[in-house]
Amino acid sequence: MKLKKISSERVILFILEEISLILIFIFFGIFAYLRPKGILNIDTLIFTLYSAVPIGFVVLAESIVLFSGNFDLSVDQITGFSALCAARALMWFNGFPTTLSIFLPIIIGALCGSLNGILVGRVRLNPFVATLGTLMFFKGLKLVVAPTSIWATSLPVFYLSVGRSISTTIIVFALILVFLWFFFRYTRFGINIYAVGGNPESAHMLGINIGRTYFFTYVLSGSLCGLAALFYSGYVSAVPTNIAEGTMIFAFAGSVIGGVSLKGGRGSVINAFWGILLLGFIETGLAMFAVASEVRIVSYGILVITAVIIASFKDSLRDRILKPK
Amino acid sequence: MGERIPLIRMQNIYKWFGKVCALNNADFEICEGEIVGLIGDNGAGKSTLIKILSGVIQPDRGEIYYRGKKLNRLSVKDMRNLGIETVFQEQALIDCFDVGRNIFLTREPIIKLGPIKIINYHKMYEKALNPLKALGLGVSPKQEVSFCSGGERQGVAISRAMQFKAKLVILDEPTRALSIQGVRQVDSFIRKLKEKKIAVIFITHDIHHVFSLADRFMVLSRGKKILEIEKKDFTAEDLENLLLKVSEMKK
Repeated sequence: MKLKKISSERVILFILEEISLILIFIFFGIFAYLRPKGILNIDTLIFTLYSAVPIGFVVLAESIVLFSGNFDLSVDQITGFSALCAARALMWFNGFPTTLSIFLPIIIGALCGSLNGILVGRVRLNPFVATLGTLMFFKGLKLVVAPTSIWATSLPVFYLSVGRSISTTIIVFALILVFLWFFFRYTRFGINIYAVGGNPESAHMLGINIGRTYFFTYVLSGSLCGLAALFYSGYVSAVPTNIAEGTMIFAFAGSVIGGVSLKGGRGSVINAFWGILLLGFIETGLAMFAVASEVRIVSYGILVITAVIIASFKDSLRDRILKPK
Repeated sequence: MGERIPLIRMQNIYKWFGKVCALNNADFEICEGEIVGLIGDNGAGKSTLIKILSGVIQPDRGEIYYRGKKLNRLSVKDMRNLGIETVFQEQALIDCFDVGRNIFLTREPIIKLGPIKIINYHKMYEKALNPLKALGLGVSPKQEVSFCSGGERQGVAISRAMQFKAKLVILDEPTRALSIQGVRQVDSFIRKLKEKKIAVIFITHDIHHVFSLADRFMVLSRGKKILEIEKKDFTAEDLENLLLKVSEMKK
């Protein structure tokens, strides 16, 4: 009887740990049943993936900060600021080398991330307060840099073509995903980020420089926001003033539903990828049924709350099953 | 001590935490192959002293010498490179990591692919088995530490010190939460270290336990060295009575 109970709990734990994959199949099944011609189409599937890439980079940016046990409320503002700042710079400096222009938002994103890194890693501010402050700072700075939207005609063709090309977008995203997976799995620095997230005091006792690790994590996160800015600009074929606005909540939802722990130290970029894919499917499905934007926002809010409840239930269930009595 | 150059000598060490003076002009030294029992009440400064020696915290004043050579502001990494391994009272484990990762954290075996250094997990888990087996722990190197019992966790922390070629092993309450078998394994590990001429600092509240292992004892009280005695001059009971007197004097 006891054996039966334990095995059923293990099944529940397995379901919760793979919840994002299971939800992908459920949503895919529902949409395929209701609109078979819509979703069971290779072009739709590819477009779903393509349209999920810009937000996917923001999800990855949030995820790696969560690995280190911190939090970043400013990911969407860094993305928006990097996009607008890079676009404005390209407008000002006509002679800027076109091939190098794609690195501009990444560098700006990294610099923005380094500000968070200094505040959290060096000044040791609470990450919630620090990134709330930088959220407001970059939001305001966006208006100073670019009070009006920047349209495609004002920008170099090459700069936007990277994000416009479906194949380039998906290939770059896949390469970055593989790089990050490799970095967090096979390098000492990647492992140290998890260690700092899992237990900063122990990590410090073992000689890991906590401040430097936090700093680097935020710089990496900022660079990913810069990549998001580049691909958002291409995807939208312009840089509106509200670009990437509000994506922080999706980044958070994607990370948590993908299985990245809010306590730090757990999760992988592959988990985050399942979260990204799930967000992509939900977005495509809701768009296919022409669901009103306010209903979509409500549904994403429900998704975030559900993700947090699942994450907390998963942790307590895992402890109950696997911890020695 | 004769004319032997101590492996480690700490001289006039001061450490303040705010207004609290954790170490007040403390001295300490240890030679190769020597086992020193570091004794004192809670708050005596034992853990602060070994954290300084491990590079976790820096002293506010004082000097540390390694084989007679003065060391300047050394980090944990530098101290580990000198062969100083510590089993902290807090165990310094990452709960969400497996046993193997905890043993090798920051010193994982690597494969070099040009400028890229890749962690060799296969070798890491294989090597992690040696100290675990030596301590008689039946835990797998791939088991998550959060699912280990108290004794197994302590065993993992000790395995970390056993894995690397140490010159000095610092054990802060190493037998806490261990079973009788685990305590025996730790004792045998300490004796093996002595045979290999590796110095050991053993911190514990259990006078009788430390008495059976150590060659020399140092008593700390309120951050100061108040007594240093050789084992041959005292019995465990004498030492216990002395410590009781010290406690009463504090009151």
